[in-house]
Amino acid sequence: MKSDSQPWAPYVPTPEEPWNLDKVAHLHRRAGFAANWEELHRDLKAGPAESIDRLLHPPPAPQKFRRVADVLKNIIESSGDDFMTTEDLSPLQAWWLFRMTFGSDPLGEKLTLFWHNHFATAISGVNNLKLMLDQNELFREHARGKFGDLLIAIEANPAMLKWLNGGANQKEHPNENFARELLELFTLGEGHYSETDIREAARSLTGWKPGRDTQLNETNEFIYDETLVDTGPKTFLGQTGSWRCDDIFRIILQQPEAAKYLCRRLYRWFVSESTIPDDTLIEPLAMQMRASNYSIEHVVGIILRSQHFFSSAACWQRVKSPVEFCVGTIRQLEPKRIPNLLPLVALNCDQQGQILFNPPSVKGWDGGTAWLNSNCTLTRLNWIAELLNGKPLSGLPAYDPTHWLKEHSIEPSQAVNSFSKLLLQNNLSPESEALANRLAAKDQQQLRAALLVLLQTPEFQLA
Amino acid sequence: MNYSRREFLGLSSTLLATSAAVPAFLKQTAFAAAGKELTSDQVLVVLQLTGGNDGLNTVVPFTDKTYRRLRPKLQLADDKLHRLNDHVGLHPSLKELKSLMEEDQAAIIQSVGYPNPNRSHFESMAIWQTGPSDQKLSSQKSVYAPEGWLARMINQRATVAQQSAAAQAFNIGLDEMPQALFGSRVQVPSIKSLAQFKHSTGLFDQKTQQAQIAAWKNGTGSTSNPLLQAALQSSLAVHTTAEQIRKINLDQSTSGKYPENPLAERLRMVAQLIRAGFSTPIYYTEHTGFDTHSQQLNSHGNALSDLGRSLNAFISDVSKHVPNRPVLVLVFSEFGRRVEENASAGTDHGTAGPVFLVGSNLKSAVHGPDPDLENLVDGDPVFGVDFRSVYATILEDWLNVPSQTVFGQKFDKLDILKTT
Repeated sequence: MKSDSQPWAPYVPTPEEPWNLDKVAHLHRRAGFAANWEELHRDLKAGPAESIDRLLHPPPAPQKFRRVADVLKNIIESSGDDFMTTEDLSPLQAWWLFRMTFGSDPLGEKLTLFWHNHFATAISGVNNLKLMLDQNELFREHARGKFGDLLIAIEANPAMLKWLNGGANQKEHPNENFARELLELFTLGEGHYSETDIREAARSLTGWKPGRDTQLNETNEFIYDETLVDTGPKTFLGQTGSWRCDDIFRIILQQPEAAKYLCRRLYRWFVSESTIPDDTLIEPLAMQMRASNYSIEHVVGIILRSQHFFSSAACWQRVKSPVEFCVGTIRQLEPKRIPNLLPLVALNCDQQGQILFNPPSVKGWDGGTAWLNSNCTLTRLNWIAELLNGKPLSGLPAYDPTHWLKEHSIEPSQAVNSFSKLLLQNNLSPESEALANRLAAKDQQQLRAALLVLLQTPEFQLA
Repeated sequence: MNYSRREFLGLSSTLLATSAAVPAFLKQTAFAAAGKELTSDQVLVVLQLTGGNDGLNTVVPFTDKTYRRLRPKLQLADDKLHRLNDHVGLHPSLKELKSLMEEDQAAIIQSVGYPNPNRSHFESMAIWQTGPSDQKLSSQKSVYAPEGWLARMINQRATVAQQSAAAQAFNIGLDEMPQALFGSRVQVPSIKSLAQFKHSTGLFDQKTQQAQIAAWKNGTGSTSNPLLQAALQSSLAVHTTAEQIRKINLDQSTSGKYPENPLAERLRMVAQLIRAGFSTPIYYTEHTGFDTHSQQLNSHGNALSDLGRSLNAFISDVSKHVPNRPVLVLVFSEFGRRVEENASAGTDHGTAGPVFLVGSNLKSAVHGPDPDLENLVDGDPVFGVDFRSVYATILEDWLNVPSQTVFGQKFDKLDILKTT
C-alpha cells in the first residue's frame, strides 16, 4: 500500500490491495472479538463500506439474546449491597463475556472494554457487584458518544467515587486521588500539568459525601451537597475562577494535549501496539476529535475506514489480550454451548492476568508485549487444550471439528486449510501448516492435534 | 527430594538438541562443566510493596512532635511499637521483622528516595524500576530508560548464550513483567504457579514439540514484526521452563511453616526454585495493598503483618535448607505517604520512605537519616539516601557487578553489608 501522505484517507480496494479474507478478519479482530466463518464470508461479499457501517451502526440484538442477558443481569442485581471481592466476580464476568461473544454489537463491547481499561476501576476497592455493573453499563451507554459527557458521568459514578475516594474529597482536606488520575491517566498524560493543578482540581471536585444508613455506616450511595463545595477561586491550567467540576472538564478539553492523548490511546487500542505513533499520524486525528467536540464514534469511524488501518503498519501489530484470545477462539470455533462455558472463559482470563472488573491498578492493563510472558502464554496453551480435548471435571466436552465442518459444508479433505483460513488467513508459516497437515493426515481423530498446532503458533497470539 | 548437581547434569535437553539458539535453562553445573561458573552464588530477591507504603507508620518516629500533630487519627501509640532505638520503632504488626533485626538478619535504610520526587504511582514506580541517570531523571520524561535496572545488570553479567542457557531472573507472581526486568536479551520467565507448569496439558510430546519449535523458528526467523518475535520468545520460554519445572519435586512438607497469604505463597515458590538448584540469581515479586487513601489503620497493619511473617518464614526456610546460597531480600515501595493524614483517615501520595534489607551478611541497624519532619517540601520530607546508592551497593557488594556501567554514573555505596 502506498504510504501514506494521507494515512487517514479511506481505504478503497484496488487490484494490489484487494478486499480479501485477511482484511475482513483484521477488521473484526480489532473492531470486535474476531469473526466466525459465516461473518467472514458475509463481509467478504459485502465489501469494506458496508462491513464497517454494520459495526458502527449494528442491528438491534435478537430478543433471545436480550432475554438471556437480562436473566444474567438480574442474578447480579439480586446481590444487592453485599460486600463482594474478586472471588464473587464470576457471574458479572460471565454476563459481560456473554455480550462480547454472542451479542450483535461487537464494536460497542470493544469500546466498553476500552473504557473499562481507560477508567480502570476494580472490585478490590469498590466491593460491590451492582456498582461495577452500573459502571459497565455507563461505559456501554457512552461508548461511542462524546468524551466530555463520559467525563461528567464518570466523575459522578458511585463505583468511581468509591474507587478514587471522591466521597472523601473535602474542602478542608482535599483528597487528590481522583484529580491526580483524571489528569495523569484519563485526560492529559504525565508532563502536561503541575502538582498545583492537581490540588486545584481536587478542590473544584469537592461536594460529594457518602450516604449513611441508620447505623451511620457508609452506604453505596453518594450525595452531592452544595454546602460541601469549595467555592473559592482556583487557578487551574493557567485559568483562574471559582471553578466547579464542569469547568475543570471544560478547561481540560480545551487543551490540545487532551485530544492528542485520547487519540494516542485509541491508536494503541485499534491500530498498533508495536510503535508509538508520531504527530503526523496523531495530529490529524486530534483535529477531528476537537472539531467533532470529542465524538468517539466520529474518530473511531475515521480510523476503521482508513487505508492506514488496513496497511501493514496495523495488521498483526497488536497482541491479543486474554479476553480477546478466549472470546475470539470461542467465536471462531463455535463449540457446543454448555452452561459453564463462559464462567470457564472468565476463570481462564483471570489466570492469564486479565481479571475483568479487577484491573491491577487505575492504569489498567499494560497490554502489548506485557501479555507475552510465560505465565500468560502457558495459561493460553492450557486453555486451548481444555477447549479442544475437553475437561470432564468442569463438564466441558471435547471439541468436535467434524461438526464444525458439517455445519459449514466443508469437505474433510479441506479441514486444515479451512481452519487455518478461519484462524490465521494467510499468516500461517508453511512449516506450521505442514506440521498441522502431517498430524491431521494420520487419521481424523488427529484433527484436534492439528488445531492445537494452529492455535499455539506465535502468529495466533497476535491480533 | 532435591535434585543433586550430578542428577541435573544427567538430564539432557532434547529441546537444546534441536537448536543451539533455543533458550534452555541449564543448571549451574552445566556452566561449571563448561568452565563458565557464574561469579556469584548470591541470590537477590526484590520485593516490591505496590501502592506506596506509609513509611512513617512503618518505622515510626515516636518522639517527633510533628508526627503527633499531623497524624491525630493515624498516629501509633508508643507502647505498642517495637523500639529500634530511642526515637524510632517498628509498627506493632512487625514483630517478626524486629526479631529478624535482633538476629542480625535485617536492616533498615531510612529516607530513601530521589531528587524532584514524582507522586504518580506509575511514574515513581518507573523511576525505581529503571534507575535512570540524573540527566534522564531531571528531563521529567515519562520514559526514563528503555530497560530496567535489573535487565541492564543481567545484560552486563551474562551473554545471550548464558541467558539462554540459564534463566537469570524469574518474575514470581506479578501479572505483568515488571519494568525492572524489561529489556534483558532473553525473556525472563513469569511464574504464578509451579504446579501449572508441572502439570501442563497444553504441551505436545517431545517429538512434536521439536517439530513445532523448528516450524516457529523458520516462520518467524526473518520477520520484522517485533510483536511476533516477542510471541516466539515467550512460547520458547514456556517450553523450556516447563521442561525444567517438571523435574522439581513440589512436595511442600519440608518447607517449614509459611503463613497463609499470597506473599507467603510467592516467597515459598522462590524458596522451592532455589532449593531445586536453579542457578538463577534474581527473583522479583510483589506485595500489594499499600495505596491507603482511606481508613488505613487496619489494612496497613494487615499488609505489614503479612510482610513480616512471610519474610520470617522465607528466611528460616532458605537458611535451613540452602545455607550455601546466601539470600538477600530488598524491600522497597514507589514512595512513602504524605505526613499529614487526609480527612478519610488515610494518607495521600508522598515521597521518600524506608527500604528494608533482609538476609544474612547484613549490618543490622537503622541506617540513613530519619525523615526531617521540621523541613517539609510540599508537605513531604526530603529524601536522605538516593535509591540508586542502595542499588549500587547491592550490585557491587552482593552481585559483583560494576554499578557505574549500569547507571551511567557513580553512586556512593552504603555501609550495610558485612564483608565476606
